[in-house]
Parts: sequence; structure tokens; C-alpha cells
Amino acid sequence: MKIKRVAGQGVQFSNVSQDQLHLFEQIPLHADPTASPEAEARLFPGVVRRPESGEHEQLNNDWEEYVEPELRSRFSGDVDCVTATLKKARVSSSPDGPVFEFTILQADADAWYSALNQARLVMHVRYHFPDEETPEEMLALLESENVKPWITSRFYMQMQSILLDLAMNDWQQADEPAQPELNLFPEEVWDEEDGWDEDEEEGDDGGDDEPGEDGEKPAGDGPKWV
Amino acid sequence: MPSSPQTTELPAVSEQTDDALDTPWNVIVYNDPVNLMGYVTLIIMRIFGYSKEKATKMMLEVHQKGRSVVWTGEKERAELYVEQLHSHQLLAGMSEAE
Repeated sequence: MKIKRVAGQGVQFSNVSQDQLHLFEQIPLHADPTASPEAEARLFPGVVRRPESGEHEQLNNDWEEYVEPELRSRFSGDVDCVTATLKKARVSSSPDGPVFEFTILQADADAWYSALNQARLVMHVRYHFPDEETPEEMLALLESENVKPWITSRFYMQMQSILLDLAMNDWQQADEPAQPELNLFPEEVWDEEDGWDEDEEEGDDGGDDEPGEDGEKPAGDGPKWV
Repeated sequence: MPSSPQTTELPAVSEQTDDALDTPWNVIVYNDPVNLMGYVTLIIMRIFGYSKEKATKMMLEVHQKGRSVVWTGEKERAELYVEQLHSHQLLAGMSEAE
């Protein structure tokens, strides 16, 4: 899977495998908190965490009545945005099977981040992921039946980190050029000597980049391990 | 079409408590194991208009001490800020300032 920021558009995902697309398509499923009261409580906490007076209780009651529905509507809309983006995914063939391409528009980056975050928050509670990833906790997790959801959650976290860097990190975008392309699970190794060349970000067929193991030149500037 | 909460531009706020208010309220961000540190910093910057340095300091306080008072002032404004923090899924709340 290759990921790059396209100026004026958003973040483009290409060479997405069927399995990777499936992980994205599962975001709405994982983001649904309705089967877990604990997940509901995390997504919609009261305004006063430890109410100590009648006023505090009233604040929480009002919050539940007036604010929470608005939050639910927003979160639901964010998840819908993910579904709408994926419906526009284009498919093409490759020697390894079908691959997909889609773009998260700049205007949709916050919604995507929100949906990924909802999924991770709900999964953390639903599957009892450890708060602290100590060796003991991780060993227990890796030997449990929750290892697959945990890997999915880590994938979502990686996507969030990329969105944060490429589409949301206002100060970084203002101060310094972001990496023009990221390549998850690349076959080719990025040559650090080449670095990033902003002039060749768009429409480049590989330029001076080293060819990959399969003989193809990486699209755009050198991909980077994530 | 995203219904993601578009951050409302609010005037830069002061941390100073207005003595004219009867009861100032603290807006508190609590630590949680899911939200990314960079995201917490970004959202504090966006909502409160703080510098990156100040927001980072608050984020680190959340991470290391479990909570950080990110703003103090009148109740209605505090509720608005907590709603904005919740809309970005940060674990936040408000309490009367001591």
C-alpha cells in the first residue's frame, strides 16, 4: 500500500490490497459502540466526571439530553464519510490480484480520523486491550483470541498517524514540507541518499529513484518505511 | 460528506480567572490510552488557540500526571469547550475551580 499527499486534494491510497481494503471497510463495524455499555460510556462521557452535587448531576443530565445526541450525529456522520470514500475506490488488476485506490479528501481528513478513533476507542474497551503495553500484558494479549482485533487496531492507529502528519498537522504543514509519499509494506527499500524532492512529487515516474526488487521504479519520490 | 466537527474559531482565551465570576470552572483533559499525543496537542491548539509549545506542555501533563487543567473561566464557556473536546473524542470534563 502506498500513501501520498496530493497537493490541493488530500491523501491518496494506492496499491491497496483486498485484505487492506477489508480492514478499512470494517471501520464502521468496529466503531459501533451500541453493543458495549463501556464503549458507550467512553465515547459519551458526562460533562462532570465525578458528580458531587445536585448541580453536577443536573449538568450531566442536561448533557445527556442536549449534547450527546449532537455528538452521536457527528460521529455517525464521520463513519458515513468513510463508507462514502471507500465506495469510490477504483479497482485495477495486478499480478498479485486486484488492488484498489482511493483518496481521502483534505476536507474529509478530520472525519476519517474521527471514525478511526471511534473504532480504536470501542475496540480498546470491547476487547480489553491493556492500557499499558508492558511485556507481560503484550504476551498475554498475543496469546489470546484478541490478537487479531489488536492488529486491526494498530493498523487503524498507523492510519491515524499518517493522516495527522499528511492532512491534519496544521503547524507542520505550515512550517515544513511533509513527506510526499509513504509506502507501507514496500517491496523496495527507500534510498536515504535520494531524500525527498518536492519538484518531482507529482506525475513523476520514478526519476532517479532506485528500482524496486521487481524492477519497477517507485512512483513519485522515494517511498518511506512507516 | 463529513459531519466532522469543524473547529469553531474562538478568540484567544486567557487562563486568568475572572474575579467577577462567582464560580470559575476548570476544563480538564484526562489521560486515555487511545488518543495519540500529537492529536491531543493539535486539538488543544485548535480549540483554545494556544501555541504549540503551550499545548504540548499540557498534553505532556495529561500523559504524565493523568490530567491537565487546560482552561479556567465561566461555566457556559467551559461547557462549550468540553463539548468541543468531546466532539474530538478527548476524555474531558469540567469541575469547579478551588
